[in-house]
Amino acid sequence: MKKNSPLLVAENVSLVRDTRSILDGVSLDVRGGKLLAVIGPNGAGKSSLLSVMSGLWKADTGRIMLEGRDIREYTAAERARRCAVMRQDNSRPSGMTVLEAVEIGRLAHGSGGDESGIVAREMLRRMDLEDIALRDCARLSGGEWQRVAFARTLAQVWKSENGGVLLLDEPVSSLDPAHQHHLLGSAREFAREGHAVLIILHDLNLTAHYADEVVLLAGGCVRASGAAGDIMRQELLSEVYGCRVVAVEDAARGTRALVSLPGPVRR
Amino acid sequence: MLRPATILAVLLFALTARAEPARIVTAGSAVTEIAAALGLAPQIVAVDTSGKELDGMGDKPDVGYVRMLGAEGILSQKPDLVLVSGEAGPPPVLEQIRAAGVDVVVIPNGHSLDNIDDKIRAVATATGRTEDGDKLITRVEADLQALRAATTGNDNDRPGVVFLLARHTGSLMAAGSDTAAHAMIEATGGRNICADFTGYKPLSAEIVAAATPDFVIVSESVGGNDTELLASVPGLGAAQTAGELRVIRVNDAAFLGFGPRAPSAAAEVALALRQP
Amino acid sequence: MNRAPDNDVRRRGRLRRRLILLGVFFPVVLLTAAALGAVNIGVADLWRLLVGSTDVSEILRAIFWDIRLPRVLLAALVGSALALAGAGVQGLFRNPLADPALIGVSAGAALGAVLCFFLGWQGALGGWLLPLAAFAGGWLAVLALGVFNSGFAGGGTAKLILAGVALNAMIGSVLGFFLFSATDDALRSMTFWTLGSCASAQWPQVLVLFVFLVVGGFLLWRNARFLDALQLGEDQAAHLGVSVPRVRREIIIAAALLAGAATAFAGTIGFIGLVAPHMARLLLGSLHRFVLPASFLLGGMLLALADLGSRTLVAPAELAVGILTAAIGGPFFLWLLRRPSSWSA
Repeated sequence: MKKNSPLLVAENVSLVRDTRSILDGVSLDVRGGKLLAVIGPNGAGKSSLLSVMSGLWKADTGRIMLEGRDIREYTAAERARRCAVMRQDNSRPSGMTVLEAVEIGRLAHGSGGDESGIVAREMLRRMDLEDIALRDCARLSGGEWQRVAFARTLAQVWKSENGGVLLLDEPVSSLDPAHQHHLLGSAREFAREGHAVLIILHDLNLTAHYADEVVLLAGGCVRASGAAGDIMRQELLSEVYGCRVVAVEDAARGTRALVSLPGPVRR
Repeated sequence: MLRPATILAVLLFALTARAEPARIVTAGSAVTEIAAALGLAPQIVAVDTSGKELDGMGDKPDVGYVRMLGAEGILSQKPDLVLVSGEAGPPPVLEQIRAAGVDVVVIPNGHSLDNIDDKIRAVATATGRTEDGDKLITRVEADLQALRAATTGNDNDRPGVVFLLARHTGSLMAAGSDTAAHAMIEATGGRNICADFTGYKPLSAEIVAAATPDFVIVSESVGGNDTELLASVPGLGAAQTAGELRVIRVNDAAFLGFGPRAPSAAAEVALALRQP
Repeated sequence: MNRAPDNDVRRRGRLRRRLILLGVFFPVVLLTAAALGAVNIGVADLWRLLVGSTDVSEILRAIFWDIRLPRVLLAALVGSALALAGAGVQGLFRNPLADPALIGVSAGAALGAVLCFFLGWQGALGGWLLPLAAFAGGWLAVLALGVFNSGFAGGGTAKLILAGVALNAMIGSVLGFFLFSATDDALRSMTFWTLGSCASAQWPQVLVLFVFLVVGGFLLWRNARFLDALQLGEDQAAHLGVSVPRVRREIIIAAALLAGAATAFAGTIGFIGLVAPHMARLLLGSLHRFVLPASFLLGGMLLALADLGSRTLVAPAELAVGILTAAIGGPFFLWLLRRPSSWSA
């Protein structure tokens, strides 16, 4: 595991669907040890970027390099051992237990058996899901299912030799605040162990707290990218999102919260 | 449709003429009818569903629909001879019965009054009743003679006829060409106005308008009086009010089975068709 | 408090025991079906037949070994094949109402068979042309579906279902045309074929179907884990390392082999392909390494019992087996549905 080395790189990626440009010359690095957040307004191309970066879709121009090799050259299983994706549109397998659903994460690691069970249980322990390990996935709340999906995604690249990459599409959209912090904390901890983590987020406050680096996407282009502190500025965000974003001081702890408020953007 | 294999089977039987069978299972209404007419009713231990309609056969065990026979069901009646008509099946079932050591004789079908004597001869040979067979053939020949007498001189002015078959659903279907009813209409000196289509299909008002029938032949088992009957069929109700349209009732099994009763049933209809 | 793993071990043990129980029931049901029939074979004679004693009449031996046993086995294999095909197709389409008919194989097989009757060739090749034509028809339909769907690859599963619906409708209209223009005699034979029956069973057919079952079953079994992953959605499965186009191709080939061969020998038999996999899931959860063998066992038992009914209920006549599959399977299925969460409790 080499910290700070680029594990997943987008090189000048463009994507056109039905003559409409979805992504236009997007370049970014996802580095081991770092948590990279991709933010931007609806329709900015965030989820499309995730589909291209995971190798599911082919970019029209440019390419995606996973550990120095074009991601399209990997077989599905090779890719899955290095790069795990949590999509928003997971359907819930009814009749399958939470434990079984997490074990599926180890699919690409061979015939499974005991090893996948051990990893799956460890992930459930980390995500505080042991109590519902045997519940039918169809009976979970939206938030529970999101945490199960995250546990499965972690299991997929658990103890990956070269670091492993996590791509998460809005993983906290259904969670209550405490679980949002827990999940993002786990993701950051995972990154600190040498993995590369890319998260698509809508919540600016959470982004500011957990991201090491931020890419701000707008209209299919990278509007700004860099260290979180440089990007998560009120003026830039207000302009890109078209609504008022303000920082609220938490005097007791000496931290700040970024919140959006109604009203016209102040120039 | 004569299959070489069945002819061979019949021939083989003729050569190896054997003792009269004690237990016979029959399937196919003509075959059962012939066997009964040969005086074999006591030896017949089971019949197919169509055979149960015949006189004296109602309380015999039923081996089912003639195309859907089961080997074990038939063997459970401990027959030493299985007599079936050409449509009996499925074919592997007949093979299975033969493989179990029971003689199976297939009497070829034939939708014609001319080969009823062939069928009678085949059944008589298979059951060792050639004398009774010859007597029955003589009777059938006499009936055919009567039919010929009833139809001669009729060729130029053949009346239009519709045959209506009652389905279990209660709907009435008209007989087109390639049906037993068609062959019988021709044999009785009628003209099937539905000959343009094959099989049994619903009668349409257009067909009736194009060629108004003079007669409607229908099974005597269909209920209701003639007026009600005709009113229930598209086109016929109107045809009836417009002109002369008469209904002839027949016994289905006798009229359509091409068994020994067919010639006399045909002669009766032929006479009815000539009534002014 | 680390209770979950223990409970999980217990749950898996219970599922395994249920599967083993089904595996024990299977030969018991088959033996029962073989012991009963229109001809009464006593327990003593049955034993003598099974151990190969010569102290049994020739005709009983013929009835048991050449008529009843191949028929019971054919019925079980047909049921197993249909249930496996159904489990594969339901897993692939993530649709509880999917059955093998959806990929056109049943309609295609019916078309092949009906064409055979239409031309009067049902007896040709020693009776083997009919199953051959039915199987070929089923395959052609599935191939056509593959071509519509650009080789199973580009189109995706949702389009595959829609293409299947269109294909079924088109084959249906061709079928309708043949039924309309058939002679009365051919029409009756066709109608009989579409009702389904195992009455024609003979040893060679049992053997052929067994080979198809082994090949199709193997294809499904090696994709069992991928089918599990597909339950999360196709894109998510692809991210998990499933080569979705390859899996889709193999499942469809397996389903076409299984349902095609079953239909070729027994005509169109509905209900089992749809319901047996659901029974398996209700009893054993959703993992395909349980669902597939359980579907195999349940489908086989269901049709063996239905065929037993068709042979004996109105003996010496035969009842159409299609009437009985639903009559026997329906109440059992409803009972399973009523039990609350039977697989997890």
